[in-house]
Amino acid sequence: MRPSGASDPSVLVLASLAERPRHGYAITADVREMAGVRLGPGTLYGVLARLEDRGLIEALPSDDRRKPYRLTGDGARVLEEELRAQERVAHTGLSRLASSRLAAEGSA
Amino acid sequence: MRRLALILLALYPEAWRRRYGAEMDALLEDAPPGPRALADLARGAVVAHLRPTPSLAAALAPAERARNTISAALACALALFFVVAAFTKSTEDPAFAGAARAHPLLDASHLTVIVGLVLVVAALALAAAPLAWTALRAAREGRRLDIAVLLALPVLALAAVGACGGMLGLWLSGHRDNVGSVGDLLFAATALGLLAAAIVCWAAPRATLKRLTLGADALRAPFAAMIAMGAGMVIVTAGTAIYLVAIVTDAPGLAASPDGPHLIATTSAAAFSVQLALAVMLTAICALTLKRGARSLRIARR
Repeated sequence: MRPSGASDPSVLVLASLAERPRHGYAITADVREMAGVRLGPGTLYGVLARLEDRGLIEALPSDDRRKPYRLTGDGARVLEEELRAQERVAHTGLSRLASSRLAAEGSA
Repeated sequence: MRRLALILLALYPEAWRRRYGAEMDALLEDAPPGPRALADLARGAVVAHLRPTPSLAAALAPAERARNTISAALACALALFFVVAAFTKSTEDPAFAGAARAHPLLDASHLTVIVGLVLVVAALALAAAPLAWTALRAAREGRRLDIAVLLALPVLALAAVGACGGMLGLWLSGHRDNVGSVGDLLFAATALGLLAAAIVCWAAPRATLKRLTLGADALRAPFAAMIAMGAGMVIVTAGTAIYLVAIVTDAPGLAASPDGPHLIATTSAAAFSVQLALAVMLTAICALTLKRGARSLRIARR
């Protein structure tokens, strides 16, 4: 089972664009390499449209049909908040898992 | 696969295609789509219609959006016509007439479906008349042969289907006792012809509307008629729902009666359920589209 937070397409796309501007195909390739998630064309452009509408990413001018996108300042802030929240959940969950294992070993 | 992907891409809203169409096309070129990508593309098209991105929707002029609404509502009405055709075909068995006599609710709901369809057709004619008149004037004054041809196409398509249906009727009346495979073939050809005519009746007005410069005021009367058409669709759906409920609740009694429809509890209920699901879906899409179109027209009039 893949961790659910790590498979949120919006976060994955924002995380991909955090490194540098990318166009559609480059985003799908990067997300696949980074998280093992295969974003379909409908999902990818649905996410890009929502993120662009919220001002979290913006399209860069391009003569090519393959338009690159980059993270805006708001996008970077939202991504950081999201990743920090995921980090807190991961940290709390892992420490609870470790203490329950210790308790189980102690009782055994 | 790529051709199928392009067809699916064409199902996205117009504003969406204008903004992302070329990019998505390039992506499909870079990564040829498999069955999963095609399913994702289809799901994306549904989501794009149901949850439009506000900034994208605003990119289209309000009158342009109202025109798209009319063509989408027309598509829903034409599809509903086939659902009603299936409904009347399912209930043409004489046993259903017997069942309707035994169960007044069946009779009333059957009549409701027909009344709803009549309202849909009348409202469509009312919506089409002023637009066709405007198109005719534009064709005559601007010497636009393309508009004239587009206006003639639905009439020709309906006339051709009417002629085919008439010939089928004549043939069937002469071979009442022995329909055989020729009859089946003729029936299938007429059904396909009807489908082709429906596509022409949807595509030609759509293409005509795109060629006309129509202000919000010119669209107001057709739009009001389209809302009446939506009401007709609701009546058709309600009639189908009541018919299904009556059939299901009284199925044991109807099936047991000597002149009751055979297999009423299983086959008929399943067929009516599919018809009802389609009618509900089409009516809901039409209502949603008309609601959005009405908002666009209000914006355009300001």
